[in-house]
Amino acid sequence: MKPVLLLVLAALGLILVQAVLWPWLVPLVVKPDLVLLLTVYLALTSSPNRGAVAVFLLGSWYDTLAGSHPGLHGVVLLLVFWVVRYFSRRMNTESSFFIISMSLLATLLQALLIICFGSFAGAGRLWPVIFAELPLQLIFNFFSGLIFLLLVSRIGLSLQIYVPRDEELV
Amino acid sequence: MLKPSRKYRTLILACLLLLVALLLYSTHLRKRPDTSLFHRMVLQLTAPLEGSVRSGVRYLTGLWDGYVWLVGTGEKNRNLQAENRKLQAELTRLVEVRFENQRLKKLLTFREQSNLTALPAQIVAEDASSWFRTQMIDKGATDGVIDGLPVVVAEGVVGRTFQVTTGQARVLLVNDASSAIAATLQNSRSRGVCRGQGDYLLLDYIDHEVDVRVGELLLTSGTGGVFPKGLVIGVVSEIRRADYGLFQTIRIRPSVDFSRLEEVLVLSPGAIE
Repeated sequence: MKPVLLLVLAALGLILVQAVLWPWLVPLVVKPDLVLLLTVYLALTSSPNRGAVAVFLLGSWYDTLAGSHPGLHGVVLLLVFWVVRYFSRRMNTESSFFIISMSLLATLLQALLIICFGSFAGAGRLWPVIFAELPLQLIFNFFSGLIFLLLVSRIGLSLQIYVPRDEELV
Repeated sequence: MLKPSRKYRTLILACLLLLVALLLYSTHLRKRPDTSLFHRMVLQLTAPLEGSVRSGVRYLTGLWDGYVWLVGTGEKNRNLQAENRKLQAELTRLVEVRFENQRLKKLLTFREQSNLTALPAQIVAEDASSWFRTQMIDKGATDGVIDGLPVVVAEGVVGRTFQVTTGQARVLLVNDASSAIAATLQNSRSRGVCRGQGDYLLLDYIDHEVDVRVGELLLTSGTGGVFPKGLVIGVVSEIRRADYGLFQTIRIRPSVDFSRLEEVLVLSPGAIE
């Protein structure tokens, strides 16, 4: 129960920072995607089943405050979760900066997936908007990844990459 | 028996002294600008002493004024600083109230001039994602807000409501990529569809032959079923006419600064009809 509660509180805090605090502090449309960072963290450290469910619920929650297409972030974040998991099992995960490189990969992937799935939802010409803001988004996510690393080490949260059991290696 | 000289010695001395004093005084009165040798000598001899005494007195006065007399001044200073901070905060609040008052007055004037039934609302949150342009307002179903109501400010169109909850609703801004509004160019009266593109808007389906000028106003046409006719959407900022093709590409600068939105008006269904 404790990790679930922690996750809910973390998600609530991060969404509030993105939707309320950041726009109040910084007059920029682009903001660090902390929910994406949380997705990457879950992809690296949690078990696949629990993590996937949590990420899907997180994405659905995110949909209530981001964009106008319910379900879009649920799908996109879930796909990001699986791709990050796939890469984390095939790369050198010993460096703590691995989470930052994964957050950058996740940002690119999320942008592509939103363009793709957004077009299905009739989101119009979304790609010019996303391409125009992608460089700044990558910079923000890079720095928020760095801050996230510092916080994680301060709080004492685990950055241990999840190692699947044999039956999960399918 | 004492000699007379000895008997009156004190008196004589007193008179002599008095005489010397009077002489010196009379001499000083006559030669006022000049400083006598005596005075110079006295001044030179006493100057260091006076200086020392003055310094000592100053030190003691300073000690008294700065420490003994000011026992409560530190506390008084802290109180004054606290009061100053409080007044500063109050001043900031009043300035903010003045600005809010100006904005609300503008909205009120707009509402009175347009004769529309409108519900004032405040922006409480922005879109959590960087890719989309939505905002959340503090009015919801309990206030009579439903899906698809137009949201405006005095400067022009803001967007339309969606995802309405009991106490809050989200507004899809006109500059979101999903947004499309039926629009009319003010001078040429050509109709098209205005779509959001992030920082700007694009006007589609304007005939290649139509004469459009930079600076021309773009208004809602009222045919889309959401926005009443004649609301300002933006201003033509760029026109591209290719050598071929049926339509021209028209870029629109929104009349509303979405990053500075604080209060908006939600137009009620009666206003749209």
